Amino acid sequence: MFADAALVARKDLTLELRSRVATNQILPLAVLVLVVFAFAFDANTTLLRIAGPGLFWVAVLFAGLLVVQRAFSIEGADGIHDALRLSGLEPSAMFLGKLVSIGVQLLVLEAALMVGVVLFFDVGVSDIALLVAATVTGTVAFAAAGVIYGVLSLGVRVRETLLPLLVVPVVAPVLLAATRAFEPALGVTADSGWNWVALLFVVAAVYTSLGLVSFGPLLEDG
Amino acid sequence: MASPPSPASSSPSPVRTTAAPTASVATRVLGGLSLVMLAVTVLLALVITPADVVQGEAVRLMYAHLPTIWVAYGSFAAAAVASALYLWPRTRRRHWDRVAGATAEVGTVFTALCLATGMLWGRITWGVYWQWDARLTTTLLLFVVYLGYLAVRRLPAEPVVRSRRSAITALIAVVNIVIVRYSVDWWNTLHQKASLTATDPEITGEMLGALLFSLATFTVLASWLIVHRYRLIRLEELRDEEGLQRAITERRAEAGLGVAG
Amino acid sequence: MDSWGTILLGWTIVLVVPGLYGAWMVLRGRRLARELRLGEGDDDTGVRTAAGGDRDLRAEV
Repeated sequence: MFADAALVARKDLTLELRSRVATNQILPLAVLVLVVFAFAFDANTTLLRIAGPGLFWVAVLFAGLLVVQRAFSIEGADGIHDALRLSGLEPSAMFLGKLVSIGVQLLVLEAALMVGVVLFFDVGVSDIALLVAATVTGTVAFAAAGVIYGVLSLGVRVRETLLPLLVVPVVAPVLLAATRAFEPALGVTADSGWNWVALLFVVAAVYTSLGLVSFGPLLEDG
Repeated sequence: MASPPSPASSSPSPVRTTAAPTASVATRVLGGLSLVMLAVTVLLALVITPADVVQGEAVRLMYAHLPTIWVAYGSFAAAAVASALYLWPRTRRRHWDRVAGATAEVGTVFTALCLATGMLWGRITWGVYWQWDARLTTTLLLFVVYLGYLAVRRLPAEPVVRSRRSAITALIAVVNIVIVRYSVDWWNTLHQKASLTATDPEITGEMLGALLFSLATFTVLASWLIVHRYRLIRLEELRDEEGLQRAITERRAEAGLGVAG
Repeated sequence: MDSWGTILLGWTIVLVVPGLYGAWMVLRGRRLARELRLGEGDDDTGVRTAAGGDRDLRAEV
């Protein structure tokens, strides 16, 4: 199963490497969002530093939705998602493959956004372990939710608006927890962030399990 | 709520559906009961019960606010159970899909009512329309999650596909709400904000009685709405089937194949 | 907004919204039922609907 998952992930990531949509279009957009925040907060550096963790994850949300949309539009175009269905691969393997591919793209985006936040919002990294743990668990949780609703909305004509409506409430707790974990990691507060990482881990595990189980039935219905 | 005369009896000609409006003896009883109980509830809430020691008259909104959220949760629980029953092969019947659709929609309406009354109650007690406390925040997310569910139900698709998608969405929604609840509760402990929960009046005696009666009232009201919604879904399914059959007949007639057997 | 005004507003919403919702359903149900029954008059061609058979909708809840 993991071989099949790797197959799917590699296919998606190769497609992305060749088209470079995530790096050439989504990434600049995400960085621009950071700039827009600076305008919105009137370049108030104190405020931006305090809000930095939250703003980071809002930018991730924005970029992440685009990544998920794209991951499923390449399947839906020209009825190609039938190929996915008929490929004979295990649905759970396909879920994992999609999860990995979206996750990797998100991590790349997040790394770049982190640099942006550090530069633009004058934020300092105090706890890199916490930062990485929160980012990875948060990303897995986000990606899992994205894949579930992405496959549900395959072939749906209103996918561009339906997918965000379905995904955002589901990832709201992820954003909440990740921001709370980032605050001590970026030196904004002195609370413990590891509790929140534990919550993120549970959420990631739950959404991944849900996805493994529901991907098959949802794919058939597409 | 007068209902039209009973449907025409079936003709001797080939099979046909007998569609009836959604009202019936059962709904008329439920509806009548709702009206009476609502009148009593309003009387209790606005006139008969005393003002609260701490909150004053504001507590009168509690008799609307709390029952609406309890009814909403009850409806969503029913929707989840119905969705699970639909997905489980041994109990799969269209009936459960319709139950899920009806209860979820009514639940969403009551969630909206809860938010509205909550905001008004908050306006009087705290002076602001909104607080990011655990209960209100969770309720807001609950509302949006089920708006998403209703959107999925409306997607054009074959009935079986739509039902299955909706059922899966409903079950994921339940998991999501639990997660949201925990996260937001935890978050709230960091802030210790004034919340509706913290300022809930001590409910005893006639206030408790009135609250429970109000709960019963809104449950009856919700049941009336759910029955109607269920039957309306049934009618819409009939209409879709009818439309489909007609389209097939016309197509076959065009092709000169004669009538479908 | 004074206390009583807000309280009455809240109660009005809680009474009016379900009332309108219910009324909408009843009216829509009647319209659909009428459409379906009228539709059958033309459909005297022996087409068997997917559901099949005479059915009293109300008995099915």
